[in-house]
This record gives sequence, structure tokens and C-alpha cells, in this order.
Amino acid sequence: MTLARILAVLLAGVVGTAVVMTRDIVHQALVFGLFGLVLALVFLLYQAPDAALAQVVVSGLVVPLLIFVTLAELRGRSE
Amino acid sequence: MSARSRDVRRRLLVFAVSGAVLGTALLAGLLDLAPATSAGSDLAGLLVDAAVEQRSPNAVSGVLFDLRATDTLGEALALFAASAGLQLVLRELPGEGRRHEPRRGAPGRSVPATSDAVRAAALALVVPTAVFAVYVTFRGHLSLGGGLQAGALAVTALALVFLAGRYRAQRHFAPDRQLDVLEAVSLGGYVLVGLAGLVVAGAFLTNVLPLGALGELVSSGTILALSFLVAIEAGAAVLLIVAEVQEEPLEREEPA
Repeated sequence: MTLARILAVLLAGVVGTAVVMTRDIVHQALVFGLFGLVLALVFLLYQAPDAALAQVVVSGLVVPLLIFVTLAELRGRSE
Repeated sequence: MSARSRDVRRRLLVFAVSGAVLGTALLAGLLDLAPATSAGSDLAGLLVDAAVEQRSPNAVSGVLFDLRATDTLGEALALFAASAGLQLVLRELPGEGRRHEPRRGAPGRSVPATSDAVRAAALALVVPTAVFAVYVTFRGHLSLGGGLQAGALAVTALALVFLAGRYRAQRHFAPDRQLDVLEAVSLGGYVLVGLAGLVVAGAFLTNVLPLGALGELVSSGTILALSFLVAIEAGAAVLLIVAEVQEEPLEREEPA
């Protein structure tokens, strides 16, 4: 359990850094969704499965969707 | 030295200073933190006593919908305000008309067709997810789950319909008008339950319904009622937010 927790927190650090290092904004939204799923795993391992459930939906679905729609709209206007 | 490398150096300086401050604060906080699992602590004992008294074995729901029910009302209001605000910002302005043909993604980008595997997997998961959402709604006081999580699951079920390429079906199952009504009625219901506590017991959001037996499906009084109302409110609010941003590039024409 403790090992899984340490690994999950380290993974969150790695994926979080990957979000910052990703230059292309569309790719960044996808990596951010992945980061949200890793965070949900951390919540799960720290005995907060209900928070993990909400995290999956908000970070894996709603936030990337908002970013994609905004990008589609902005690119539509600039062309 | 070029302007660009000076800019990079300036940014690195800002990063170093703010990183050092944030890191110190984080380290100080971590050193002060209680152990992650402390089942024997005083707080755990108090929560177990409260859970038995409220007939809500899930202490988290007991805190959210009884001890801290006013906070939860504030959170539900925040979701309500978010969806109302987004609808206001993205409303149809004069001069904007509805697009006749939905735009397929950004202009100049061809959208690949949804693969059969994605379609089949998404459609197969819709009904189990919806059933799970109902299950979680009515188990919030007994075990893991409760209002917000159930609402999120309901949103997931409809997102799966969308993922399967059935945008119109998704809008058919969750029309904006009904969602608006559901959202307002459930939030109003939450306030009414709170006012009932104020009238009967003299304090806002006091648990006034019959508590029932510990572990029964219908028990824990207003905790179950409030959890159910928050499930509807959260689900409707997030669905409205998703629907509003989906509609924006799909159906709206630029003002001429």
C-alpha cells in the first residue's frame, strides 16, 4: 500500500511535469486529462474513492472538452 | 546577449524565486502533517459517534449533508452560478443565427470517423453507467458515493452517448429546458429542506426527517434527501455546461 502510494505520487509529479513541458496546446489538453486520471489514482490510494470519482469526470472530461471547444472556436475565427 | 535569452533568464529568475517560496511553504506544511491513516485519533472517534447518531454509516455523507450542510449548499450554488453564467456569456446574440450544418471541428481539419470499437464500447457502457449512477445516489448515506459523485456519473453516461457519435441522441435525452427546470427545482428543494429544519427544530438544515434504522436503504433522514437533490443539481449543472460549450461551435453562426 505504502509503495503504491509513493509510486502514484511520483507518477503524478512526472505527469504533472509533462503537462508543463508539452508545447502544443492540443497535446497539452490530452496530457492534462491523463494527469487528472493519475491524480484520481492518488485519491483512490489515499482512501478517498468518492473524490476520485468526481476527479475523473471533471479532469478527464469537462476541462479537456472546454479547452477543445475554445480552441476550435478561436481557430475558426482566425481563419 | 539577445532579447530572447534575456527574456528566458528573466523568466527563470521569477521561477526560481516563486519556486523557492512555494517549496519552503510546502515542506513546512508536510512536516506538520498528521499521518495519513489515523483510525485511532480523537477525530475518528467523534466521526464514528456522529455517524451512528445520524444513522449514516458513511461518515463523509454525514459531514457533507448534516454537519456541514450549509457548505454543501454553497457548493451547489457555485455549480448553479457557473452554469447560469456560462449560458449568459454564450447566449445567442442579435445577428448570430443557428448554423444549419454542424461544423465538423476546426475549419481546415478533417475529422476522422469514430471507429466501430469506440462506438460499440461507449454504447455498451451507457446503461451500466446510468444504473450505477442511480445506485450511488441511493447509497450515499450507507457506503461510498452520494450526491456529487452520482451527478458526475450521470454526466459520464451521457458523455458516453456523445462519444458513440450520437450527439443528437444525447441532446434528446437531456434537453436544455428540462435540465434548467431540474437544476432550479433541486436547488430550491435543498433550501426548502433547510427551511423545514428552521421551522421545526429552530436551525437551518437541521435533520428533521425520521432517522430510521442504521444501515437501512431509507434511513438517515435529510442526509439521503439532500444527497438525492445534490445528485440532480450537480448532474444537471455539469450537463448544461457541457451542452452549452458543445453547442457553441456546432450550431452558431458568426455575426455578419
